[in-house]
Amino acid sequence: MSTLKVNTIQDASGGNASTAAELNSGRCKVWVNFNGGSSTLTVFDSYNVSSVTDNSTGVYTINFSITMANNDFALVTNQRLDTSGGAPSIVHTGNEHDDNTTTTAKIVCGTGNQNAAGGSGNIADVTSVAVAIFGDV
Amino acid sequence: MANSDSRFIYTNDDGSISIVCPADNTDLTLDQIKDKDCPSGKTVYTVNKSAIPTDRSFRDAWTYSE
Repeated sequence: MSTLKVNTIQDASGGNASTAAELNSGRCKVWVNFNGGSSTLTVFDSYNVSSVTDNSTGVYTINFSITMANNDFALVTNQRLDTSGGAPSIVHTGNEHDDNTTTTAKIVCGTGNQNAAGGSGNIADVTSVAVAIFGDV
Repeated sequence: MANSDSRFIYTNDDGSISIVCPADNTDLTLDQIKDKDCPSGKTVYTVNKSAIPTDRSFRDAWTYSE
Protein backbone atom coordinates (compact mmCIF):
# COMPACT_ATOMS: atom_id res chain seq x y z
CA MET A 1 0.00 0.00 0.00
CA SER A 2 1.30 3.43 -0.94
CA THR A 3 1.18 6.39 1.42
CA LEU A 4 0.58 9.90 0.17
CA LYS A 5 2.28 12.39 2.48
CA VAL A 6 1.25 16.02 2.14
CA ASN A 7 0.85 18.93 4.53
CA THR A 8 -2.23 20.55 2.99
CA ILE A 9 -4.94 19.52 0.55
CA GLN A 10 -6.75 22.16 -1.51
CA ASP A 11 -9.41 22.11 -4.19
CA ALA A 12 -8.49 22.76 -7.85
CA SER A 13 -8.97 26.51 -7.37
CA GLY A 14 -6.61 26.66 -4.43
CA GLY A 15 -9.37 27.09 -1.86
CA ASN A 16 -10.89 24.98 0.91
CA ALA A 17 -7.51 24.00 2.29
CA SER A 18 -7.33 21.38 5.00
CA THR A 19 -4.30 20.07 6.77
CA ALA A 20 -3.85 16.37 7.38
CA ALA A 21 -4.32 17.06 11.09
CA GLU A 22 -7.64 18.78 10.44
CA LEU A 23 -8.85 15.90 8.31
CA ASN A 24 -7.83 13.40 10.97
CA SER A 25 -9.49 15.33 13.79
CA GLY A 26 -12.67 15.97 11.86
CA ARG A 27 -13.48 12.60 10.43
CA CYS A 28 -15.82 10.16 12.11
CA LYS A 29 -13.90 7.43 13.92
CA VAL A 30 -16.76 5.09 14.81
CA TRP A 31 -20.32 4.78 13.52
CA VAL A 32 -23.09 2.24 13.71
CA ASN A 33 -26.72 1.90 12.70
CA PHE A 34 -28.71 -0.76 14.53
CA ASN A 35 -32.19 -1.89 15.46
CA GLY A 36 -32.53 -2.32 19.20
CA GLY A 37 -36.25 -2.52 19.39
CA SER A 38 -37.71 -5.48 17.59
CA SER A 39 -36.85 -9.09 18.36
CA THR A 40 -33.12 -9.58 18.60
CA LEU A 41 -30.85 -6.57 18.24
CA THR A 42 -29.55 -6.26 14.68
CA VAL A 43 -26.55 -4.27 13.47
CA PHE A 44 -27.38 -2.93 10.00
CA ASP A 45 -23.97 -1.47 9.22
CA SER A 46 -21.00 -0.09 11.09
CA TYR A 47 -17.47 1.22 10.97
CA ASN A 48 -14.82 0.39 13.56
CA VAL A 49 -17.44 -1.44 15.63
CA SER A 50 -16.89 -5.02 16.78
CA SER A 51 -20.30 -5.53 18.41
CA VAL A 52 -23.26 -3.93 20.13
CA THR A 53 -24.37 -5.22 23.52
CA ASP A 54 -28.05 -5.35 24.47
CA ASN A 55 -27.74 -4.74 28.23
CA SER A 56 -31.44 -4.37 29.01
CA THR A 57 -34.47 -2.53 27.70
CA GLY A 58 -33.20 0.60 25.93
CA VAL A 59 -29.64 0.27 27.21
CA TYR A 60 -26.92 -0.53 24.70
CA THR A 61 -23.13 -0.59 24.64
CA ILE A 62 -21.21 0.15 21.45
CA ASN A 63 -17.97 -1.87 21.43
CA PHE A 64 -15.21 -0.39 19.24
CA SER A 65 -12.69 -2.34 17.19
CA ILE A 66 -10.26 0.55 17.64
CA THR A 67 -8.97 2.24 20.76
CA MET A 68 -9.72 5.92 21.22
CA ALA A 69 -7.05 8.14 22.79
CA ASN A 70 -9.35 8.89 25.75
CA ASN A 71 -13.05 8.88 26.70
CA ASP A 72 -13.53 12.56 25.91
CA PHE A 73 -14.94 11.85 22.45
CA ALA A 74 -18.13 13.42 21.11
CA LEU A 75 -21.03 11.05 20.55
CA VAL A 76 -24.00 12.07 18.43
CA THR A 77 -27.11 9.99 17.88
CA ASN A 78 -30.32 9.80 15.98
CA GLN A 79 -33.01 7.36 16.95
CA ARG A 80 -36.57 6.44 16.10
CA LEU A 81 -39.14 4.50 18.04
CA ASP A 82 -41.49 2.76 15.60
CA THR A 83 -45.11 3.08 16.57
CA SER A 84 -46.68 0.54 14.24
CA GLY A 85 -46.98 2.80 11.24
CA GLY A 86 -47.95 5.90 13.15
CA ALA A 87 -45.86 8.95 13.78
CA PRO A 88 -42.59 8.07 15.49
CA SER A 89 -42.33 8.93 19.14
CA ILE A 90 -39.79 11.46 20.30
CA VAL A 91 -36.91 9.56 21.74
CA HIS A 92 -34.07 10.77 23.89
CA THR A 93 -30.69 9.18 24.09
CA GLY A 94 -28.42 9.71 27.04
CA ASN A 95 -24.68 9.20 27.12
CA GLU A 96 -22.66 9.79 30.26
CA HIS A 97 -19.02 10.75 29.87
CA ASP A 98 -18.08 8.60 32.85
CA ASP A 99 -19.70 5.53 31.27
CA ASN A 100 -17.45 5.81 28.23
CA THR A 101 -14.11 4.04 27.95
CA THR A 102 -11.51 4.14 25.20
CA THR A 103 -13.18 1.09 23.63
CA THR A 104 -16.87 1.39 24.56
CA ALA A 105 -19.74 3.86 24.73
CA LYS A 106 -22.98 3.22 26.59
CA ILE A 107 -26.26 4.83 25.54
CA VAL A 108 -29.68 4.82 27.19
CA CYS A 109 -32.77 5.40 25.04
CA GLY A 110 -36.26 6.31 26.10
CA THR A 111 -39.23 8.60 25.81
CA GLY A 112 -40.26 11.65 27.75
CA ASN A 113 -38.70 12.90 30.94
CA GLN A 114 -36.63 10.14 32.47
CA ASN A 115 -35.68 12.12 35.54
CA ALA A 116 -35.75 9.72 38.47
CA ALA A 117 -36.97 12.54 40.70
CA GLY A 118 -40.37 12.58 39.06
CA GLY A 119 -40.10 12.14 35.34
CA SER A 120 -42.96 10.72 33.36
CA GLY A 121 -40.94 9.01 30.66
CA ASN A 122 -39.71 5.50 30.23
CA ILE A 123 -36.54 3.83 29.15
CA ALA A 124 -37.49 2.04 25.96
CA ASP A 125 -36.16 -0.13 23.18
CA VAL A 126 -35.63 1.83 19.98
CA THR A 127 -36.15 0.45 16.50
CA SER A 128 -33.56 2.56 14.74
CA VAL A 129 -30.45 3.94 16.39
CA ALA A 130 -27.59 5.69 14.62
CA VAL A 131 -24.47 6.64 16.55
CA ALA A 132 -21.41 8.56 15.32
CA ILE A 133 -18.32 9.23 17.39
CA PHE A 134 -15.72 11.92 16.81
CA GLY A 135 -12.52 12.19 18.79
CA ASP A 136 -8.83 11.45 18.94
CA VAL A 137 -7.35 8.03 18.29
CA MET B 1 -21.77 -18.03 8.53
CA ALA B 2 -21.84 -14.31 9.21
CA ASN B 3 -20.74 -12.95 12.58
CA SER B 4 -24.20 -11.55 13.10
CA ASP B 5 -25.76 -15.02 13.00
CA SER B 6 -24.33 -15.60 16.49
CA ARG B 7 -24.92 -13.99 19.86
CA PHE B 8 -22.90 -14.09 23.08
CA ILE B 9 -24.84 -14.25 26.34
CA TYR B 10 -23.55 -13.68 29.86
CA THR B 11 -25.18 -13.05 33.22
CA ASN B 12 -24.45 -9.79 35.02
CA ASP B 13 -23.82 -9.49 38.75
CA ASP B 14 -27.42 -8.34 39.32
CA GLY B 15 -28.83 -11.44 37.62
CA SER B 16 -29.78 -9.75 34.37
CA ILE B 17 -28.31 -10.95 31.10
CA SER B 18 -26.44 -9.08 28.40
CA ILE B 19 -26.58 -10.17 24.78
CA VAL B 20 -23.72 -9.23 22.48
CA CYS B 21 -24.48 -8.86 18.77
CA PRO B 22 -21.25 -9.16 16.73
CA ALA B 23 -20.84 -6.82 13.78
CA ASP B 24 -20.21 -8.15 10.28
CA ASN B 25 -18.21 -5.19 9.01
CA THR B 26 -15.07 -6.00 11.00
CA ASP B 27 -11.89 -7.97 10.45
CA LEU B 28 -12.24 -9.57 13.89
CA THR B 29 -13.27 -13.20 14.24
CA LEU B 30 -16.10 -14.32 16.50
CA ASP B 31 -13.60 -15.59 19.06
CA GLN B 32 -11.74 -12.28 19.04
CA ILE B 33 -14.97 -10.35 19.53
CA LYS B 34 -16.02 -12.69 22.33
CA ASP B 35 -12.68 -12.24 24.12
CA LYS B 36 -12.71 -8.49 23.67
CA ASP B 37 -16.34 -7.55 24.27
CA CYS B 38 -17.47 -10.03 26.93
CA PRO B 39 -16.25 -9.69 30.51
CA SER B 40 -13.52 -12.02 31.64
CA GLY B 41 -14.36 -14.25 34.58
CA LYS B 42 -17.92 -14.83 33.46
CA THR B 43 -19.34 -17.81 31.62
CA VAL B 44 -20.19 -16.69 28.10
CA TYR B 45 -22.52 -18.78 25.95
CA THR B 46 -22.45 -18.64 22.16
CA VAL B 47 -25.86 -19.20 20.60
CA ASN B 48 -27.52 -18.80 17.24
CA LYS B 49 -29.52 -15.59 17.00
CA SER B 50 -32.66 -17.68 16.52
CA ALA B 51 -32.37 -18.68 20.19
CA ILE B 52 -33.15 -15.11 21.29
CA PRO B 53 -36.85 -14.49 22.03
CA THR B 54 -38.52 -12.13 19.61
CA ASP B 55 -40.98 -10.80 22.18
CA ARG B 56 -39.06 -8.23 24.26
CA SER B 57 -41.99 -7.34 26.51
CA PHE B 58 -40.21 -8.79 29.52
CA ARG B 59 -36.64 -8.29 28.32
CA ASP B 60 -35.35 -7.25 31.74
CA ALA B 61 -36.62 -10.50 33.30
CA TRP B 62 -34.76 -12.74 30.86
CA THR B 63 -32.38 -15.32 32.24
CA TYR B 64 -30.31 -17.91 30.40
CA SER B 65 -29.25 -21.47 31.15
CA GLU B 66 -28.21 -24.32 28.90
